[in-house]
Amino acid sequence: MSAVTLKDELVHYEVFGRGPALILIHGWLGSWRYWIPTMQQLSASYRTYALDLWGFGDSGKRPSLYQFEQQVGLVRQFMESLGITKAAFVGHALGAAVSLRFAVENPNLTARLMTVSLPLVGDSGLIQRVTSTSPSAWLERLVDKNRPDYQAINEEATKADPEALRVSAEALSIQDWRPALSNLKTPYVLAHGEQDPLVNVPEDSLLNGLNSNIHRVLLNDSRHFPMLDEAATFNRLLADFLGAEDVSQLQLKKHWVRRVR
Amino acid sequence: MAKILIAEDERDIRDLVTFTLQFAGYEVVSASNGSEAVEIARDEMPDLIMMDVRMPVMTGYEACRLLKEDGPTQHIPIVFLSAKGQEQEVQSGMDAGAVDYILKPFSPENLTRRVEEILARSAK
Repeated sequence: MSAVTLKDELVHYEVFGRGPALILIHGWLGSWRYWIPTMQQLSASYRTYALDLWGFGDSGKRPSLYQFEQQVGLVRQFMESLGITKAAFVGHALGAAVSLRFAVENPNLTARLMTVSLPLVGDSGLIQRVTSTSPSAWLERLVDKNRPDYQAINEEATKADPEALRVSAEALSIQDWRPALSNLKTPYVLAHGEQDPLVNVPEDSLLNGLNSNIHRVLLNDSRHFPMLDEAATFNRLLADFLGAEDVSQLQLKKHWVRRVR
Repeated sequence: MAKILIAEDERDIRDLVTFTLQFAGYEVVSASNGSEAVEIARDEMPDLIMMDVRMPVMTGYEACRLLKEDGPTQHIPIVFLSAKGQEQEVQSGMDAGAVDYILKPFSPENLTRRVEEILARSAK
């Protein structure tokens, strides 16, 4: 287990691979752990970091750190602490919002950005969905129990402080990210699982007039965890995006599994 | 949880196997050549050894034979990692005392599953 001390609290993270930095930020239902398949697939080309946000996993659980701005600040402090000068980001749900805000505020530190399951516009139902059902109960609905890592992912999810869930869901329930998108110049993929019951999948009409640096992707067979539901497709999409000269030419490729040669 | 020794000279593969098996709950130690593998196996007494065939200093075959001749380590199951298309290596590995083989390329998911199967079989 790796950790840094920030604001007198531990921030847990795991790191794997060699190459340009790629930072993975989890969402409400878990911790760094569900990024393992992504880290495995991309480790040959990227140095992948996956951290636990304040209030989640094995990171510090001080309620004063749960404000959304503190979570965004955590990312910057984490990078400074590890000497990461620029990184690509992939954020999921809560982590999607954190990484998007970070990218908007720190364009010079952000190479590329992919958000997965971003709650794009204010949604009053988000708080209830995130807080009235436990992470474990959500995982039972959303993740295949036959996965060999299901128990580990579930154990991690139970470590979340309910206060961290509530504070972050409250903040995002009234947030409309579309103005931020219009200011973002970083290459950006906005991805959603088309069958996500936790985060509303934005209608096409909400995304009219996106800048050319932004590419919208819908993963048809995915719910809230495209990185698990369609791991091979997701990881191939991510790898292609990270290496793409022209984001607008991205398309979902056929099944591809990284093979160790 | 079981302790596994991975002997593999290619760093990317060694790191990926180590990462995969550690977060599948195993304790993992590693070696980058056959000679190191023999030394570490004697020190660490792992529950399973995953051995690449072609390694510098000492090949996987030689390391396997040495470990099988050595009292304290001869019971440790050894699995060879062999490249697809090198089926003759598989037979040579079994002749050297391996209990099984895993063909490269392998996916992390299949690796974990195969390791579980092999450990379960060896425990019987």
